Amino acid sequence: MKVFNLSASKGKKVNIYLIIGAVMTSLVFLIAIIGIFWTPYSTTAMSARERFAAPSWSHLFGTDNFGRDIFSRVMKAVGTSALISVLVVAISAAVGIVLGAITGYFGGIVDSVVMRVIDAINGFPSILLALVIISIFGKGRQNVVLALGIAFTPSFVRIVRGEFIRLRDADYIVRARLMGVTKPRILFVHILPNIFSTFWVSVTIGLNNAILAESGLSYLGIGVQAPDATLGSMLSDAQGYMSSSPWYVLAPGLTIVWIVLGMAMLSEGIGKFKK
Amino acid sequence: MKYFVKKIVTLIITLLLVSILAFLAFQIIPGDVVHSILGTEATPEREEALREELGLDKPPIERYLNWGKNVLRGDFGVSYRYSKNMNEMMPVKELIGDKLPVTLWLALLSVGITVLIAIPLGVLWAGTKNKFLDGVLNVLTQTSMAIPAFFLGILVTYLFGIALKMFSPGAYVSYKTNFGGFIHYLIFPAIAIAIPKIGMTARFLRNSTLTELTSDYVRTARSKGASEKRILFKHVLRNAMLPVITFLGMIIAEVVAGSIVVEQVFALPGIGRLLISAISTRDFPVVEILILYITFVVIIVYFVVDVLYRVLDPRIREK
Repeated sequence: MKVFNLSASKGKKVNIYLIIGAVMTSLVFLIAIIGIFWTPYSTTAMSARERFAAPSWSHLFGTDNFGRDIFSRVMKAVGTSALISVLVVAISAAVGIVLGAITGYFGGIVDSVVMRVIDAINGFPSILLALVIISIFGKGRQNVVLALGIAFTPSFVRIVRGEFIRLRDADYIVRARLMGVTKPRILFVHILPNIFSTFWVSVTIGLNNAILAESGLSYLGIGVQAPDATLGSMLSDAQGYMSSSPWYVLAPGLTIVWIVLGMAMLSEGIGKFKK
Repeated sequence: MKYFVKKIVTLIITLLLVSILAFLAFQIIPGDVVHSILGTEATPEREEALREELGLDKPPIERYLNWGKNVLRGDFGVSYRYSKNMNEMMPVKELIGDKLPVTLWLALLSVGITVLIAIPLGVLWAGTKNKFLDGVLNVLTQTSMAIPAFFLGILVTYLFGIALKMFSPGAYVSYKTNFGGFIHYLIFPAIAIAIPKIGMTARFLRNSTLTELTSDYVRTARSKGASEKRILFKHVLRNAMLPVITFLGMIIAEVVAGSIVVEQVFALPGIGRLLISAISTRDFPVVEILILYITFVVIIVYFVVDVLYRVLDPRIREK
């Protein structure tokens, strides 16, 4: 009885990572969604009188070299970064599921060929691959999504494939096969739901990497182009004013850290939840 | 032996595939290169001549074979943007040559700093019974991984450059004129690259050590009366380090890629900056070679790590 109680209380233990991560992440999404409809100031309104204003109640994060309100720009930028990252992960996860399911379940020649190509793509570090694709198709928002979507696909294929290999000979799958269940149904109705716990962890990690990669590209000046504000391009603009107005650098920089940290906690929380 | 042959064949196939991808990728680009070099005012004859000179009049497969042959011979072609003088185009090789040491030293320093700090830190972390220290290290490493390289670069510049005045940001010293000054300047970007890697490696080593600590041989050692220190350093660490070697291989690959961004922050004239400027100006021969170069380094590092792992762990060798 005592043993039972112990395990029960362990099960009830608060998942602190999940809670903190969820709170941090939902705040980000809340700000991003509000930012679509309303910002305290216009993101492009310049004001010569209010250049480099330090953070105050009227300008929470201060103003930049053109007198634009940094908080408003961060709000918009978070929305842009979040949208791009979600699209990137949606693309790479969808392709990853289809390719990973087919290669993992069936194996054989298709598996070898797809995996060789995946290995070759994986040989490129993802930022490098994104740079290649952008250099081919040019800069801009859609191409960033495309580039990172392709760059992030291999890791999803690998994870999904591994899970399908693990499950393809499980007893319940063998029985489903014997009962004459069709192949697509086995793949997507019988196996797929069972890989979601692993899958969600990689989705949160993927979102994080997408945020970091997107801001990196914008910082290098080859991501989303002006006048759209992104966290990366704001940092690149702010770099020169670091000693005189540190808030200009810190606002977008710490926002990225906040987002990534929140999501990392969330993924660790989901991982613990699984166990 | 069979394993090595198989591994090397896979390596060669991967390198070949990567080179084809790198080459083909730049064949589907919209727009005519000749147009962009000569401008719209050039005569058709002049355009035709340049096209022939660059070998652009031949079919793609022939061009790939030619290009591959030349690359193997060490001839990397000419840049579309930079010229040596009025009549000669700048060979890519010369363009890359003096930038390569900058990136290589940066990568070397970053990996060195990572290993020197992460491994003792990971062992200390795994060995500690102190809950508070455990919590602090957990938060610190988690945070270090959440900071993007360029922001970290800016913070490092601010802390060491502007606040502590340990170096002057932007005043890069060439390795040709003053090697000591060069390394001194490079240490700070290397720190910026190393910080998240230290976090990752330390976490990884801690976890792999803790996993090892639950194995049977540790129980046996304990029942023999071996001290905890002896168990950790003589027994556990050797095994716990094995997966870390693979992990470090990954880190090296990431450092090479990560230096692209950090070079920009610290205004380092390495191949990362060259790559970004070549992409912006659509200087494809340079981009092709740099991509090929960086990718080859990464693939070969992975290969070496894979082989090393087998050499170090007889259990895998015998399977």
